[in-house]
Amino acid sequence: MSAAAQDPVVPAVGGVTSRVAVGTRAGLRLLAWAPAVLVPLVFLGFFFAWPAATLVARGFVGEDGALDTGAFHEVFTRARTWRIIGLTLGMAAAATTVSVLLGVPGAHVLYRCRFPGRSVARAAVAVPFVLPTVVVGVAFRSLLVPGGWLEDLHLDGTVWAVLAAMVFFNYSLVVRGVGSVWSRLDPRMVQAARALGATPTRAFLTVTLPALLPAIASAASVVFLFCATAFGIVLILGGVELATIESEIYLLTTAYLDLRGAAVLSVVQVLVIAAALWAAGQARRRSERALALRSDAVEHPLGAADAPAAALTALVVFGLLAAPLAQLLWRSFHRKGQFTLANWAGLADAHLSRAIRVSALEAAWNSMVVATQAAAIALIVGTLVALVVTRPTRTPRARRALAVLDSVFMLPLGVSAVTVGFGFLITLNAPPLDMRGSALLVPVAQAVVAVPLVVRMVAPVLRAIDPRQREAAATLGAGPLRVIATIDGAHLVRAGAVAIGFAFATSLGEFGATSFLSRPDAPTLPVMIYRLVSRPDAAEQGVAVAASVLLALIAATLMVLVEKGRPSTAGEFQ
Amino acid sequence: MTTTLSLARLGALAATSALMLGLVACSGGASTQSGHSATAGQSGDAMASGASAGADSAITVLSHDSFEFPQELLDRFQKDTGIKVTIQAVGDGGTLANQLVLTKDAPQGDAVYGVDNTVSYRLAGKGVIKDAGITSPDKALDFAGEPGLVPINQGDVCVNFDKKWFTDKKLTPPATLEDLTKAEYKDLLVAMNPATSTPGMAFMLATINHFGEDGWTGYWKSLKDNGLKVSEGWSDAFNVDYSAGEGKGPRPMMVSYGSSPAYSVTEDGKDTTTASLPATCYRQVEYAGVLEGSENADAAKKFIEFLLTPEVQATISEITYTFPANPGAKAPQTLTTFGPLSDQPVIIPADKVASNAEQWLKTWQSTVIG
Repeated sequence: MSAAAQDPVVPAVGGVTSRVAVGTRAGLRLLAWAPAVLVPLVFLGFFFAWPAATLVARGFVGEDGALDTGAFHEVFTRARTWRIIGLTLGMAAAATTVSVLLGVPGAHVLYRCRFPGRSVARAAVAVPFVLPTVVVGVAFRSLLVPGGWLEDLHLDGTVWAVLAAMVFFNYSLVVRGVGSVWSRLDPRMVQAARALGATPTRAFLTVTLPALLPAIASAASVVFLFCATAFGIVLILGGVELATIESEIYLLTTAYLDLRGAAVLSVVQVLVIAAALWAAGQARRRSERALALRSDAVEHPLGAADAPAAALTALVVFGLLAAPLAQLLWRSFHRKGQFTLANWAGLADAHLSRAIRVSALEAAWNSMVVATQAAAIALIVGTLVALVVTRPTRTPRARRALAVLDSVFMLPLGVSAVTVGFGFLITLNAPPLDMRGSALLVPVAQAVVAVPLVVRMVAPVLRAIDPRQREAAATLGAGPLRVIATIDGAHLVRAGAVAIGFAFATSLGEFGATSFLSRPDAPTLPVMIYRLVSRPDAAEQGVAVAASVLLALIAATLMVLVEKGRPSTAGEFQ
Repeated sequence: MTTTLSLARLGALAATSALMLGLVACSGGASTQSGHSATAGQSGDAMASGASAGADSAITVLSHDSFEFPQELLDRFQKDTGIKVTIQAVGDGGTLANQLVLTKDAPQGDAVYGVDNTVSYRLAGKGVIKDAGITSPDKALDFAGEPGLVPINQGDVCVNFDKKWFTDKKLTPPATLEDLTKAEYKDLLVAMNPATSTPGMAFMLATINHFGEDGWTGYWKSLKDNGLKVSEGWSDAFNVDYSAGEGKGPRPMMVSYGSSPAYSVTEDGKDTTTASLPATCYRQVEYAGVLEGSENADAAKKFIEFLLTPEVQATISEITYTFPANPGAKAPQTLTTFGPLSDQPVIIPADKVASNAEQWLKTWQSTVIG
């Protein structure tokens, strides 16, 4: 892993050097970009590649310290391994397809149309993203089992339940990722096509859709990664039969301490993820081109033409997203079958559980603090990566180098949270980086997971900027930093606002790595919820559900703030 | 025009960054401050800045995340011995055991509490636990498989049932493991995957002990044919499947803890709405030990001996709803009345579990899941 993460960069930098060394100006430009490349590389090297590689390497070293790759043979001759690889790819592909098919109309309705309550709807869509999987798993199962609101569908323990949950969690990624580009697409192309006689459908298929493809491919690749690496929902909703590579790594590591098997599967997972990224990159590159982006949103009031998309979106929002949330809300007001407000009152009670000495409200505060730190780190690192990988390149070699760099920074999504968590414990435990007990350990781990998301949210927007805008600015005498500030900066602020919302949300809901690293006196809200929900006391169970609803409310509020807080610049470019 | 506007945008960008950095700075400062008290044993800086902390006066005790020790007792221990104790929770029992093995070269603490006999086999012979010479309170409970582990508390994992459900249906509850495969109990039981759940593991071990190496897979086949539901973990079985759980699920029998009925005591405190089947119980013992890499083994030993004093044993019993390992300590009244220990529990010594666990789990998987 370490080699994979760092080697490709060496020729990249070297290649650029040899090309630009001729002129001091080019040399200076390289110097200016060096920190932008180095900061993310050092960050991911220390906090992702090294810990993950160390843990995986343990799997290939026998008791005597010699290299032992016998596990490959053992793992690949198991029929179960192949079944799991097939299931992982199949379920992720299906869930991604459905998320895109539902999410693109959603992006249209929520980002192109104006209607009352839109910002609330936008925020609500993002809520599932932060919810703890065990609680959502319980909510979904409660709907589907005999006695549940949806028992007639007979979906408990089926692949359909898992797929529905995957779409539930990832729908918002498509809506936001595609929506943020769509809302700033220059409408004149479509207007021209319509004026030339194209039907709305034809105009969409020939003009709008091609322009959106890079953003769709970008969002789809993230959704695919999240689905392929899902383990919580697969464990809970998939019963014992459905599995993904990730859930198997989780099992092998935490249940069997079979590091060799887990290491082999980690390698398989990285290969699968790399292949998926490569395919997504191909799709994106084929369709990629500079778009005439405006920095203000292009919107129209919801009209009759939007009815099909609006109906579909309403169906998703009220059917798929709201049902499990409603189930949670209902449960938060009940204890032992009786209506009560006690679960909500219990949120402030630090002595509710003898097992945990802080209240859920304190845990919520901890979560906010940690998420702020994690989002800040992720935003800085992710934006630097996005700026680097979207630089216009002149040589094929440089282009390839940037493409590799782009993929390398996506890998954290392809490595199990368990691997990262355990990896932290066995690497960051000695000087110079003895972080045991450090308050920054959790935010750093969460930022590692959030960086790829930030890159995927910001990069398509930067790529879509017409290079002529930058060239024009340069011609008019702006220096390179000035060009970035004026041209990229405007789009960066908007894309960054969306990205920071999601980085924050990722951190707010992250449990896998956090559970290994969080400190006892400062549990995050998801850690607190997991602890409460595994105790048989009705009060603890009830407060866990109320705390989940609280987590959802915090996430929704922040999403609304991000929406409202985006600088409105309508009219600036008149 | 363009210039002013872009400057305004730049300003917005700068303001946003400054705000973020400011937030980081504030929150970082706050966390570090509160961190001093919690991580004094870990961080040299914290120790240097601590008012009276000496080099040998602070230890960290690793534990699973459903245990937290009352601060009052920690304060008293510190007052009596000068040793400051931090309890660090690390995931569930299985995760805790794994973490100890993985970090044995640079342990995260000085002692461990909460490794039970369904996972203690993972520590056997790995050089994780130091034999500090602590006297066991009950030799009959010394089956952790690793000499330095001392029993602290014990409980049972048993099949529980919803009394009201059986009364309403006028059905006699089953009594034995064999009964669970009878037609009248079809589709009524939920158990947990032994690979992902310690109570699930305990129940599997109970069936292995009862039916023997040759018979237990056949037993699970009949359980499956009789409509057994397997859940991934205790929480979703309790919350979704079990009729006496919070979700009012469809199944009136669940593999759970022998102490669970003490949580379902009726409001008048005279009866309980659930009960467990004593003939299905597996004895779960939780152990504590000094970690091999501890630089403060003496202080860690003192703390474990403190855990074994009758008064602290009674407190642990109250917190964990399990029974003390020290016969001289008392469990709470509700627990002894409604969730007593089984008088016929199954026990498999950890060294036997250690040599068979992986095979058993794989066999279970291929038998029950396929």
